Amino acid sequence: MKKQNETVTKSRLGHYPVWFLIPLGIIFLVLYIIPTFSSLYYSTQRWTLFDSTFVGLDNFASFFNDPFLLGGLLNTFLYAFLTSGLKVVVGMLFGVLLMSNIKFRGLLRNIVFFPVLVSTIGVGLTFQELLRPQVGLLHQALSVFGIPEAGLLGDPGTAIFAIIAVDVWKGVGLATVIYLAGMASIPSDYYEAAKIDGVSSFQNFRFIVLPLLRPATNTVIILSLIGGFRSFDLIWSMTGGGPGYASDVLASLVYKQYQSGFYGLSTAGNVVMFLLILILVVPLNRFLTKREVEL
Amino acid sequence: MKLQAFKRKALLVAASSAVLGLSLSAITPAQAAPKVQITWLVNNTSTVTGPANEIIKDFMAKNKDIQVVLTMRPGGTDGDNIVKTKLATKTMDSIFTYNTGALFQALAPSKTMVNLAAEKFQSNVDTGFKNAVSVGKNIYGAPFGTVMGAGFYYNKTLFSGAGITSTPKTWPAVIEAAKALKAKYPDVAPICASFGSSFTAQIYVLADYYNVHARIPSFTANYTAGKAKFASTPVALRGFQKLAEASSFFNSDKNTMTRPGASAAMSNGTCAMYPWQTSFNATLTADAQARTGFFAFPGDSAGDYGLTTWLSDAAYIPTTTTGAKLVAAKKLVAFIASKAGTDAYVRANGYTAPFLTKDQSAAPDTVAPAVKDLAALLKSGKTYPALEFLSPVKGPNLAAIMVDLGNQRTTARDAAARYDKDVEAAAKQLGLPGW
Amino acid sequence: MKRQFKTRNWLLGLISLIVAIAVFGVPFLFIFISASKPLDESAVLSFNWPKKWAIIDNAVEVFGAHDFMLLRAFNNSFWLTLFSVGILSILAAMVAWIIERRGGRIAKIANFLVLAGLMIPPAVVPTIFLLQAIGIYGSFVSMIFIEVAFHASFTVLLFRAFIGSIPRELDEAAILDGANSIVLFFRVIFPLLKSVIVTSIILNSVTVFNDFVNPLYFLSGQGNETVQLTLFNFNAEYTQRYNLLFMDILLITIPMVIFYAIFNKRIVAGMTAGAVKG
Repeated sequence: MKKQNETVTKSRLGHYPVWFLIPLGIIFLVLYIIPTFSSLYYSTQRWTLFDSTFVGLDNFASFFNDPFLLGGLLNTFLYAFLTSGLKVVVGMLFGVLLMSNIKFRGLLRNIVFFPVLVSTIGVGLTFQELLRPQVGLLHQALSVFGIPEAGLLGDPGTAIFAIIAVDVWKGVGLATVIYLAGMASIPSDYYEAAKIDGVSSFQNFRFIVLPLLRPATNTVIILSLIGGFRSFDLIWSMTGGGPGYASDVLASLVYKQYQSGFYGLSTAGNVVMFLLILILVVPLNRFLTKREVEL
Repeated sequence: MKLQAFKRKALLVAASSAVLGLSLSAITPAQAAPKVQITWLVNNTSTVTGPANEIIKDFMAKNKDIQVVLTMRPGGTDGDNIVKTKLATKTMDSIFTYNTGALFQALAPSKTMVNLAAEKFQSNVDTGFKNAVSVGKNIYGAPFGTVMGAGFYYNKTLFSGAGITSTPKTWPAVIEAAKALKAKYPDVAPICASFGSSFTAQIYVLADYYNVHARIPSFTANYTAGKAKFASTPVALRGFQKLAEASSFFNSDKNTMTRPGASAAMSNGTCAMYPWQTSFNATLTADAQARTGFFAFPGDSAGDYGLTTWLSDAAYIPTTTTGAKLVAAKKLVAFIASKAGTDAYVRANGYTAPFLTKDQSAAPDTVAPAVKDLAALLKSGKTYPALEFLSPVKGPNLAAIMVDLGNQRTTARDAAARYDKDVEAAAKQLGLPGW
Repeated sequence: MKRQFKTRNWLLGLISLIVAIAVFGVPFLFIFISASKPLDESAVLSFNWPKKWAIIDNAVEVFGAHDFMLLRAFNNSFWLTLFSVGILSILAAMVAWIIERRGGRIAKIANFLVLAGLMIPPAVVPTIFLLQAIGIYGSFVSMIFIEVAFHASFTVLLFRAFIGSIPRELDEAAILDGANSIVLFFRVIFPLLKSVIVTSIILNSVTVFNDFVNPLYFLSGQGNETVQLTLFNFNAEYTQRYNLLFMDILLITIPMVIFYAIFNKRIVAGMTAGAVKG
């Protein structure tokens, strides 16, 4: 019995021809690989539509010198880690809730998951109106309880947090179903053994379920981190990166620089995004996967 | 085998439909002579699409062999980007309208547009305008729209209610008026800001230019050469400082209010003053226009009172328009700059200000108060074009910097310094000497 | 004890349902209500039921605006999704097949590139310039290929996981019967992939249909706008006309509602497929 991923014998090689890779390979190469490499080149240029001059690492330096760009870089970190953390915690809580025997489980799962499928632009524009100061629904609801309203999207200090909240609103459903799948794959023997040993439900959760959920947790962390670093649609539709630059992230800065015609700076932003993910997410993924418990 | 049969069937269907189609076309009566179709790309605000549609209507009535289709793009930086991209990828419409001055220069006109210097309609165009759409001896645009000024629109009823007897003619007077309004009407914002349309935040610096020029006539040249900066020139710094001073009187929803939102607020009386260009008046309701006045963006002392002016937008033809379409496009451009074209424009927006052409209809007798105020200012001769019409350099991030300043997240000096850096980046991008 | 348990579950379920509807359902209800109001009522963004039902009028007006731009946008979105997802499914399956079966150095390289594709954000501006150099920037075809390129990694991994469970004995049997590589893959293996093909079509359709940032960069102002782009542009135009804005949002959401209603289980299963295994 051959192992599944053993290299095939020479006589069989012809049946798994290399040219099968070519069609997708060409598209992938031309539209993704080549631009990624050329971005390394273009990020060192000052580049108009018609010509370019070499400026070394100036574009990258701007991300640390220019207060707007630096703010955007910091916002990106904030956005990625906060949304990731919240999705893990809230997603797990929802997962536990939906795993228990409460009524309306199926309906609840559908309600929580549906926002994941809806257009991000639609969600962004809807919440832009719901959160509108003085006239939006949130303000009306809060004023019923007599709570004065924070500036939310209109306040430079809170804009990014309002967007983070909406991002979690939209994405927690996916985290929840990932956790549900994770919990469903834990064999019931484990629960039974724990019951026999007289373990409380809290201990059960902490020492049995939680470690066995590590693959699910890791998936949620990695997926939402990468997504958070690259996030654009929600920010662009809710505030356009504003007020001013207050809620900008790397992706929106890349677009803004492109709009202004600063193509070199824009491409540098892409490279920074790429390096961030490479330096932070890849080692994190390796670290997290090592800690996964074998089922 | 099955494939063969299917192929034969398909061929039969295709052949018979071809025959049917051909015979049908033989029976139908001959079409009228084919029209030349050209497309015209404009900003999607109603104050632009309205006149454009009127112009097209009149033009097509006079030129039955040309069909003009209006296409739209957003305004602001999104629109700038779309125009630049379309020109760069050679997918621009037959003609398009866009700003004049520095923004026009950023489009690399000598590479992307058709030279219209030799066209007959140029004899009808004001010289001042020609400078804003030229590179050397080549002229690339025709005026679309009116002259504009920038200053403050104010609610006369609220002003008299707060005991403000004379129209502010100095900046300190504006602040005094704002204080009086705040005391008398706590629910009304003395000055409104519409940062939801971030490009409007720039007005404090851009509209202040008459005052800068009045004190330092050499600023323009030195600025373009990279020698004069906003942060280090006290008079030029004033624009930034004025926004900082005004920010304590802003409406609480300043960051989400859009420019149409400001029109609504001025119309229903929740705003007392709003600074913007004189295209603003046409966006107010008729009732509101009857009680809204206009004064120029004032300097610090009474003798400095004058109007910073904006030249109108222009209609340009990209080099990708050729042959019969080019002939048609040139005709449309000539029409836009003619008396008939400006008449059509007035039909849509009402009379707001003079056009930049020599032969145009006189202003009607009854106009809104703000329009009268503007006309008086233009007549006084104390006007000067905004910096972007005299210098090709304009930093693209002024709006965002001003929004930050308007939110009191930075100081006027820091904002000005930041803008200087932005201007430097733009100048280097344009490849200007001396930067 | 059991009855207490049952009541507790019932109560907890009810409370959860109310909270869930309040948090997750209210925004959608708001969209529907606002989309049904006539212009004068919609100016105030309140939650009350429309006094006059204008849902048909609003739909007609939004569809007809700018020469039926929304209709054309739906058309564009539909064909873009169909073509890119279709092409992707076939080509990605082929690549996954080779990586999984052939092994060796070539497969290792391909695998590495696929994983890189998951993490590295696409460099859009250089891609724009490359497309302009070729001369196809802004064209519908170029957008199809871009969606294929940007979703390739995910789809290949999806197929790979599934192909791993197809026993090699099947290959051997087909080869001994005289099948060449094409017959082997397209006649023997492809039909077995039906389940994962459907999953990839569904998941990719959702992502491509909802894609905003890529059409923003590659299709802006070129006349091929998708519904997401049109919605965004309408927002600038429809300030103060909330009824039309929300009607547009409603129209974009409806396909997803239908999609979810039909493919509920598959979507959830697909999205969690690789997740638990890591």
